[in-house]
Amino acid sequence: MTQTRHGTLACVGLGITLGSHLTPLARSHITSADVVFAGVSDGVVEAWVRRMHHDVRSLQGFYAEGKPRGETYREMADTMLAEVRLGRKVCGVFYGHPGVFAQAPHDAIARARAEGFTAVMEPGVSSEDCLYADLGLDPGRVGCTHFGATQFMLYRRTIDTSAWLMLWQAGLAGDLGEGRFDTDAERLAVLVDVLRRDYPADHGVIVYQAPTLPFETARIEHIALSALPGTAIGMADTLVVPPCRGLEPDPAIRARLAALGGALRT
Amino acid sequence: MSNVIDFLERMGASAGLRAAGTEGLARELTAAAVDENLARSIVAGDASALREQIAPGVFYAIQMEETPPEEHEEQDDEEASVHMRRHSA
Repeated sequence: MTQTRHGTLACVGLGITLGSHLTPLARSHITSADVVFAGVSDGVVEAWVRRMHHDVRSLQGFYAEGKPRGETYREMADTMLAEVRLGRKVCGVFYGHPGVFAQAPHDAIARARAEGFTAVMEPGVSSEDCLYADLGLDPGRVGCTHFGATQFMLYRRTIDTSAWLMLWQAGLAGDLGEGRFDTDAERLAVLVDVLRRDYPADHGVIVYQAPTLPFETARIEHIALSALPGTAIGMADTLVVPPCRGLEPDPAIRARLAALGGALRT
Repeated sequence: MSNVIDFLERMGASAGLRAAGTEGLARELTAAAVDENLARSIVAGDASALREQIAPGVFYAIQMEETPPEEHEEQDDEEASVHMRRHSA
């Protein structure tokens, strides 16, 4: 059995919009920590985190153009773990949800636990949560699938076009690990070609970005799929693809279920 | 600068401030003694101008790599063994 050691790690979510989404428990982890590491997407938000604790260390310095991002995320985890090993109470603060499209928090928690330290993750309001509210869609109605845009391009996936399709990190679409932090018209044209296997060129899609600051509004831009290469797509943008066909009934399964229902009544 | 951050935190948590409109927002910013240039950016809804004044420079918003799993085989093996150790503990 692994013996529990001194030093703890809590990776918490800040939510997306400054001041609107931070849970009381996440705030408590921040204010009671010995040291706080901030992995947030906005300098104003980082300034907000600094108002909550006297020792906030930014993780932004690990990013660099052309540097493999996997290396960046390993360094982030290493940095947090080094303080945990010193017996300190460490809090990693990440924008949105620390476990959604976020590599360093998962890695750091798994490694901390493997070394016998107590490590927890506290969820935060994610872009996905904001998207459902801002676009007025419910993933329970016809279903919803999620992919990273680049992974979606690199592998043949089975798409259900009767459900919503969300492509995250669309602003990096087509990155092959060169350490890019953007995409361009050529790469977006390739993404359109991939989507054109299942959707018509004039299919309406939505570019979405949740507001980070409380006086901002969400980006909700409706465009035709074919117009995507000519549209500016940023790091935090998501491509939302509505269904292009209705749900298809399965008569055989319906008949089996109906028979089970009849058996129960007798 | 601290009072503009405090104001944004208060605004983020206030349904009234979120819906105050430009005049109401301007009044609240004045009452909170927020710097005039910062207040002007907020009332104008100009997040870029506010960021330029408070925290200029690039902030990266990407926290996951989507390169092919085969490039992470070594890491995945390590992660799998971590899970195994945790389950057997």
